[in-house]
Amino acid sequence: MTTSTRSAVAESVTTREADTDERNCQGFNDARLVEMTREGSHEAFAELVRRYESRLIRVISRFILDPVMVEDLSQEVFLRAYRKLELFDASRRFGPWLFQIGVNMTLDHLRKTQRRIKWTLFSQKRSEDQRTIDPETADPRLSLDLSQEVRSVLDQIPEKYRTVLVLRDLENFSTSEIAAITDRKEATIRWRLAEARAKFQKLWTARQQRDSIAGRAEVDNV
Amino acid sequence: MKCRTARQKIRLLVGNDLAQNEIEPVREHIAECDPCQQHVEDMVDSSDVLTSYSGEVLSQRKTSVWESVVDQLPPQLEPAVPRGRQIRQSILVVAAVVAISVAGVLPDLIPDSVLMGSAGVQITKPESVELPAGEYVRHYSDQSWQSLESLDGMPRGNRRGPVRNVVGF
Ligand SMILES: [Zn+2]
Repeated sequence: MTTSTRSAVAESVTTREADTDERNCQGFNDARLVEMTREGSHEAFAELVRRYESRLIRVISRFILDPVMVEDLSQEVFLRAYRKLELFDASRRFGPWLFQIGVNMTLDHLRKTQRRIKWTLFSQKRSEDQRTIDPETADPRLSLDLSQEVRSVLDQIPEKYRTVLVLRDLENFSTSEIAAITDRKEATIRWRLAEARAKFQKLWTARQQRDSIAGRAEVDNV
Repeated sequence: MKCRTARQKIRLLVGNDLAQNEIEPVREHIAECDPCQQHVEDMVDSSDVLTSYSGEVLSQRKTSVWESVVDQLPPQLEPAVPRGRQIRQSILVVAAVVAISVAGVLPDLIPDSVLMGSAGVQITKPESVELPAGEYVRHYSDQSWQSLESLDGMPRGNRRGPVRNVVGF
């Protein structure tokens, strides 16, 4: 057997082993995958990453607009989870624990860059909008679509309420899951949720009224 | 039920977050209270806004972040150390750190024999330093490693830092 044939065979064996590992891992529950990761299996951790990445990225995207930052942060969350895995209490569920790390890191990031974020949000809104707006004649608010408007209202809600609102009403976590993620009692979460919905409703209504007044004024000026 | 309580519950009811046994009393209050009826409508409207926003397609990835994560993982997770062994190890580490700090901070306050007693702590050889096996101190002026033999006769006050046994690096 030539060297190249041998290495090709070796490669195909390795690939087959990796495939088998991947298939094997898909059948395990989270707790078993955590155990296997602790025993040194990268493939087990890869399976956990694949299970949770979409939802984690969605949750982070609810707080951070920049997709590159969202991706960086999601990687950091998984890396931190990996490093902290020895501290993970195996009697708890892995998902809420992972999202606890994710939400904490996201909020930390937001706090650190709060000032910068305001400016970034504004400039992103402008650049994301494909239409060209003449700042002299147009109100940029009128060009925002629904999601951008909702986002800007959410941004005005204090963090502890916004977090609960995002996790419950946008990402559909249960109140008991949110309690685990945020390390608060479920009663606290329910109270914050009610407050958060009231705050959103007030701010949303005020914004709609302001927009309709601005729209009427524009019509009058034509 | 007071309006204040009813409204708090209405805000939970719009998202199906009210316990089954709490729903009926709220319904009864709403049926008899116009302002709370209005609050229901306002809350349902804003809840609809959030629902339609929640269905928005966010960033979609073609590949898993695993490809990037795996490159940054430490080669292997530190194996779990049994609790007892962990504590014993911590005590050893603390003892070593204390020994090094005491020798480093107080070289002038303790006799040579004690200073020598702190030697023998296993240390990692600095990459840039090539030293044959022997006993060393740091020179106070340029922090270079000086063998004890070469310092014979130097006043003790001129020595700084821990004495280190460099054994078979
Ligand atoms: Zn009422």
